[in-house]
Amino acid sequence: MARLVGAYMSSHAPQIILQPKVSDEYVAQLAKVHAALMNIGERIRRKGVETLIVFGSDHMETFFLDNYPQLLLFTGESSSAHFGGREVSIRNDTELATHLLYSLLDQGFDVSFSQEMRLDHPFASPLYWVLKTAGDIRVIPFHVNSNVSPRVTPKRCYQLGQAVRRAIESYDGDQRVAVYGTGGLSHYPGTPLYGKVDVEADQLITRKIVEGKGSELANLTSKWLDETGNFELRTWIAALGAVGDVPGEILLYERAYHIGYCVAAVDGV
Amino acid sequence: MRELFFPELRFYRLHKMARAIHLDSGLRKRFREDPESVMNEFGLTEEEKALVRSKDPVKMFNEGVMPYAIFYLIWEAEGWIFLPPEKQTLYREQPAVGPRGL
Repeated sequence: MARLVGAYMSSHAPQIILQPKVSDEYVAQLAKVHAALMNIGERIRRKGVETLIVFGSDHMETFFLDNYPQLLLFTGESSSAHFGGREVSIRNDTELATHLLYSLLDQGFDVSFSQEMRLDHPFASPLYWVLKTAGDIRVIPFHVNSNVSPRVTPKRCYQLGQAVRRAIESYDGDQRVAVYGTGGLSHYPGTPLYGKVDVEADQLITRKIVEGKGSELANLTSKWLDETGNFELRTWIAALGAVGDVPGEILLYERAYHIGYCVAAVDGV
Repeated sequence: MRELFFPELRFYRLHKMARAIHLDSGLRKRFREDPESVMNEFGLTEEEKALVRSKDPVKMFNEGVMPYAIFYLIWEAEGWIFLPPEKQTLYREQPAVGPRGL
C-alpha cells in the first residue's frame, strides 16, 4: 500500500518565476516566497516523498476552448514548461498515475487523461523552486479547472481529494506520496479589481488550515471564492481533502500589490 | 456578463488570438508592431477588433472578454506586468468616509 505523507499548498503567480523588479518591496517579498517554496522542497525530501501529485489549474494555456477539460490527469512519461526564459521539467510516475485514473473512474470521477501535455505557470512557477530542494521525485500533474467557467465545485474538489487518498492507499506499491495544491490566494487578474487583495478572506482560509478544519473550506461557494479572489482555492481544497482534518502550518503570507502570497503545509500526518 | 471567467462565444477569435500571443513571443512582437494584420489572421470581428484597439482592460471586462485574455493582451503584451505597482493596478482603496464637505 502506498502512503500519503503530506499536503502542501502555495501560490503560483507567474511573477514567482518572471521576477519583475517593480519595487524594492516586491523583490523582497518574492525572495521570501522563493525561500518558503524551497522549504517545502526540503520537507518533501526529509519525508522521503517519491511521488508528488500536483493539483493545478490551467488558465487557457495548456488547453483551449476547442476542448476544455474539468479534471485531467497527466499519464505520459515526462513534461516540461518553458516560461520567462526558464525551463521546468518533470518525470511522471506513470504506474501510479494510471492507477489513479482507473481508481478515480471506479469511484465515480470521470477524469480525462493526457499522455502528451505541455505544462504552464500553474505548475512551473512553484515547482521551479520546490524541485530545487525536493530531491529526485516523480511528479503527477492533475488539472482541476478553477479558471475557465463553468468550473468544478469546491465540494467536489474536496471529494476528489478524498478519492485520491483512497486511490493512493489501494495502490499495490510502497511509495511515499504527497499532494500539492497550487494557486491563490486572493487576487483579481485581468479585472478592474486588479490590485485588490481580500486579506480578511485569506485569513479565514489560513486559520482553517492551521486549526485542521480544511473540510469546512469545502463548504465555501464558488460565488464566495470569486468575490474574494480565491477561485483557485479549489486546488488547495483538493489537497486538503486528501490529507483530511489535520492541523497545518502557514509558512508564509505576504500581501503583495496584486495577490496574497501564501505557502502552507499539512505534513504532521 | 455571466459568471466570472465564462468565455463568451462571440469573443472566441479574440480569446484564441490572446492565448496565441501569450504563448508565442514572436507573435507577441508582431502584434505589437502590426496589430491589425494579426487580428486579421485570427479573423476577429469588428466588435472584437474595436475592443483590442481600445487597449482598455476595464472596457474589455465590462463587455465580457475573459479576464485571462485581457491579462495576456494588456498586462503581458503591453508590458504592464513590469511597471511600478501603482501603474499596473486598477483597483484603488476607497478612502475612509469623512464628514461631508471635508
